[in-house]
Amino acid sequence: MAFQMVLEDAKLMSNIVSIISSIVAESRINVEEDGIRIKAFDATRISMIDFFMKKEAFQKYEAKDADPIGLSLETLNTILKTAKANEQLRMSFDDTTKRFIVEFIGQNQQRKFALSVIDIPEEGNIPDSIHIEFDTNFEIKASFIQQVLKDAEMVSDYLKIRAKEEGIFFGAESDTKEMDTFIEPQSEEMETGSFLVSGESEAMYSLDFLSNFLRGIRSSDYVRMSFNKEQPIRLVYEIEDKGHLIYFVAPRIEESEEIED
Amino acid sequence: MKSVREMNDTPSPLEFLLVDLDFFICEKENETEEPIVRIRGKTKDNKTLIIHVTGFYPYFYIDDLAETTNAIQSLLYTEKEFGDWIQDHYQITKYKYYQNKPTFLYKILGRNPWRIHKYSNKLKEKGVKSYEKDISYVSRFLIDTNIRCLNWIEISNYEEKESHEFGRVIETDFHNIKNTEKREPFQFTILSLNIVINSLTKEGKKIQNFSSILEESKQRIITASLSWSQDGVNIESKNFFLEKEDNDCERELINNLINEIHSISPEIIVTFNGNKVTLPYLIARMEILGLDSERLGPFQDAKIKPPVGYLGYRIPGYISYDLVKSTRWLRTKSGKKNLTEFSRELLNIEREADYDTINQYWFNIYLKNQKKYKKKLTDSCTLDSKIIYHLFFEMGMLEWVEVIKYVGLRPSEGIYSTPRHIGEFQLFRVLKHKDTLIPHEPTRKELAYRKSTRSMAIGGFVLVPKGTLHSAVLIADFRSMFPSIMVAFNIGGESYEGSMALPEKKFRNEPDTGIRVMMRGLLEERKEIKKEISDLETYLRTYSDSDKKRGLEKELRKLKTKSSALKVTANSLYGSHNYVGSRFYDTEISNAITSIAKEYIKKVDKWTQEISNNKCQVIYGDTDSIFVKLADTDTIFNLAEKIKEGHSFKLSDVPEVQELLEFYESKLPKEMELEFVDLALRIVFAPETKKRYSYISVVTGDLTIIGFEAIRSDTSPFAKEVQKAALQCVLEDGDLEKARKKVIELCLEFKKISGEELIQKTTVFGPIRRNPKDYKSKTTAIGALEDYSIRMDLNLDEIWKDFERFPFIILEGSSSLYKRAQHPTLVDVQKIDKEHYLEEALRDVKRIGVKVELKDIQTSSQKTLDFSSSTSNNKVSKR
Repeated sequence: MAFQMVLEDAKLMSNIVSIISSIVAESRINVEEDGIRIKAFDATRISMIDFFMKKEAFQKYEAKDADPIGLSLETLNTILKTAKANEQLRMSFDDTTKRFIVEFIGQNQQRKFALSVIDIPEEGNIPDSIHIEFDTNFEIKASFIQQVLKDAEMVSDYLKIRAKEEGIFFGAESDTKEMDTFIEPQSEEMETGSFLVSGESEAMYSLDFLSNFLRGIRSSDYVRMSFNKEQPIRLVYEIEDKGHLIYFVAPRIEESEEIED
Repeated sequence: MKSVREMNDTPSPLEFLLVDLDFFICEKENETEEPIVRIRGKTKDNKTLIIHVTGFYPYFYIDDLAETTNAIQSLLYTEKEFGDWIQDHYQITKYKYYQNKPTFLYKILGRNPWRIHKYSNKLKEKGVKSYEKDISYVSRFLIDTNIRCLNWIEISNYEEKESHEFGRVIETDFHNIKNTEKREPFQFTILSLNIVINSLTKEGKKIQNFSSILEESKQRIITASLSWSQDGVNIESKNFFLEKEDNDCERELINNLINEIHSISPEIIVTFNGNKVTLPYLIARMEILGLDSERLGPFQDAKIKPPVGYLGYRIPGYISYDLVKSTRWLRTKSGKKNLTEFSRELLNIEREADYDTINQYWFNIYLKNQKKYKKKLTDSCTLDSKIIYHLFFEMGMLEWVEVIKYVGLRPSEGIYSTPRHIGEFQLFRVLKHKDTLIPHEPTRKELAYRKSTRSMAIGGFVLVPKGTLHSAVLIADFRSMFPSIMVAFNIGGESYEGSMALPEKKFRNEPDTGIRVMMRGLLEERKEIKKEISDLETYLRTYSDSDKKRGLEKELRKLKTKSSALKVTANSLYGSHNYVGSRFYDTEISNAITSIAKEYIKKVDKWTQEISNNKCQVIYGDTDSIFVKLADTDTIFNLAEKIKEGHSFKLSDVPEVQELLEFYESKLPKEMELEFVDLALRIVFAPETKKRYSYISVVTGDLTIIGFEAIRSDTSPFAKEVQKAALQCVLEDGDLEKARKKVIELCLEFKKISGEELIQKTTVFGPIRRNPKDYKSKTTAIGALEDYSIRMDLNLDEIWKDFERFPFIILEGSSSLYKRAQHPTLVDVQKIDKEHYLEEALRDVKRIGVKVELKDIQTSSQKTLDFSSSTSNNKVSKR
């Protein structure tokens, strides 16, 4: 079944797809009655992205019994990158040509792209909803965490996060270098009210994976981060009141500890 | 003795198998020379016949021009010998190979075949061009009489000449010889011959330089061994030992050896290194000792011909073969190519002793009088000759004999020939029958010109695979693609118009070219045999009587050998058009064949889209095979399940495949056929790389790997193991994540291993093609070989010859790989560069889409997400 949707700000979708495509190159897009959704593991299954944008976020949204479509998100990203300020975005599916249509509607002009869809099998083991009780929850300004990642990348491939009631410690180390950053709940960069830490947790995550997601977030926005000791981290980015991008990354565990297991 | 004819009685026809032939010159009383073809044949009861065939004269053709008669006249006038030599000459019409143009010629028949070259050149000097002067007399005889060697031949009228230890000698005119319809198999007597040369000093010390022993030929032959079988089952052996170090004893050894060979009367004599050691040394020693080396052959006075070009030693009358010729494409685990290695790898037999030890045994027995070594000496020599006997079969030489038999060229040369020679010889026969002139061999000048102007041949067409992993893929092959194209489009010099037309239109459809006639016959015969094979296989599957089954299995093997002989012959001619040294070299023709093949691969792609309404797709094509992704994957997956449970595969189980194949058949020319090869449940292609894929078959459940590192010898066993395991996961379960986990698991295990296991998993073999000093840039194998020679104090100029490939292991360090490569026996296991091997393994699995980085398997371990129990806190799966 065909569908169509019109978004006031084409740039917004461009930002979102830029983040998602850095994680998964190809994916199924589910166009449902309440909004559109992409949920996919990256090829290595170390991380998973969960994107949702509700129908109310769109100026126009028509979708009924639409089948999921497979798209190259990398291609879609290159197209959406061309979005200009003040351009609207229309996305639709042409049932006759079986093509996914992307249109940029500006004042007195219109640009149109048609993408062939690809056959992507449904991925197994993606739960509809994930409920995890986290010991550590905090909401931090994107610019702060982006700086932390940059600092850590100079030292190692991994970021260690230790949460205590007095604050969050970020660190990275290699044979020759070390990096440490500490932030208190009262910091300007932290949403003090959302800081909830019970006990002490520590985990380590791949910087590559964290960066893929976090570097695309607007630096003035906030990201909610939650994790437990040696368990996946969840990053939540609320897209105003229009939807969300949730990202899970599996931890990395020191081999010596594993042997003790 | 009175001839049978003199007794006024027509002799009963004689039937025999033509083993080999040569010719000799008989001087008549009036000083004219008569060429006599001499055949060695074997009767059904294994008796030897020597047949002298008279009346067949060598010849060549010259242009019938105004000046031709003058040229002949003037030659007769100036060269008396030419008058004696020329036997006859007359006008004849033949057709040129190119464009099939009729051409008026003189056929010049002479007496001594050796003079053909001389007189054709004399005529050339007088401005008359000659043709077919470069076809040897023996080949000429076989082509013109259409007699096939190694087949049954019949002589209807003959005269008995004499009878001696080498068989009955009879004489006949060449008109009396013909092929028979008899197809009965003949049991060849195959004999292996091996000698050991004394390589010790008088004091019993080893002479290090074996090359100088061969060169000087001063050392005596100390042992000679034979192994043979007349029934193919019971192998007999005999050894001859030098009992005293003097000329008489060595003469006696050689005489006894030769007498024994003649009394066994083999058809095939097989050696290992016979062209470089056994035969030249034996002949050299015979000459030094005043023995006539011609006695080695069954004709007694025929010259033993030394190796030239692709040919090895030829002993007229016997089919002599050096197995080293067959080892070119064979690999051994140690990288060394010698009798010990091939015996171990191909026969699983350990030699009792190497040549040094055999020398020691002989020294102890005969010079130190220690008789206890006698048994050891006998046993080791016997075993060596038996090994050589068995290797003849194991190296597929009996199959090659079948190819020679099909075409019937001279066996003593045919045994060394390549498929190209085989195909060309068959084409000679067809062209002769069509009265078409056989093109001449290129002269040196022509060869140089061809080489300099040779454009890049259009190779087999290979499509770049679309995507990496696919499921439900039909694999189909064009049955004998190039030969069937040759038939369908009437390819050949005769039909070639030389136009700028499309490849398919470059050849006229009539008259039939020699190639079409030859290929049509071959393909039809092969089709019949394949049908017989398929019937027999079906029958064997259902038949339970084991005795009868064994008989049928033997029959099946024979049919398969014959089928592959036909295949070799059919596929040989494409190469002829592409090889600069061939008479039939013509890249216009060879490129037309490949271009047509390419067009058809593309057409199949188009047809597939047409019939399936774009649902099926050709995802890969490789010269003569195509890979079609099917739409109905459910049927394929269900079928794979059923087959696992014991259901046997039938094409009718997959209607989509049947429909496709039927559609292709309706579109292809009738001579061409796409046949079902396999059905891949899943197939993985190396991205953007041709000729690398691997799949699991729905039909057999087997994993097939083409071109990936997992089957290449220049990859470490560890990397092969990792790639194979990854391929298995990807193909069996279609699960990249599982493959990834498996790879990491294997890499982690690898990090823990040490000692012999680590050596075994990291030893790689690299080729040694020439003296290390001649390499401009060092390879790792060369680096390791140089290091080895220094550490072991060996002469690098000598030691490299022992290795076809050299084993090495890479050690830790930051210098170039060749500086860090070391022979496995010299390696300090602690210093093996595990990271290098891990990187190599990870690079190889990346090609099949399994991405693992080195950091993923270091110090800490990256987990993956698993939400299978998502509501609990157990969210991480461990590798």
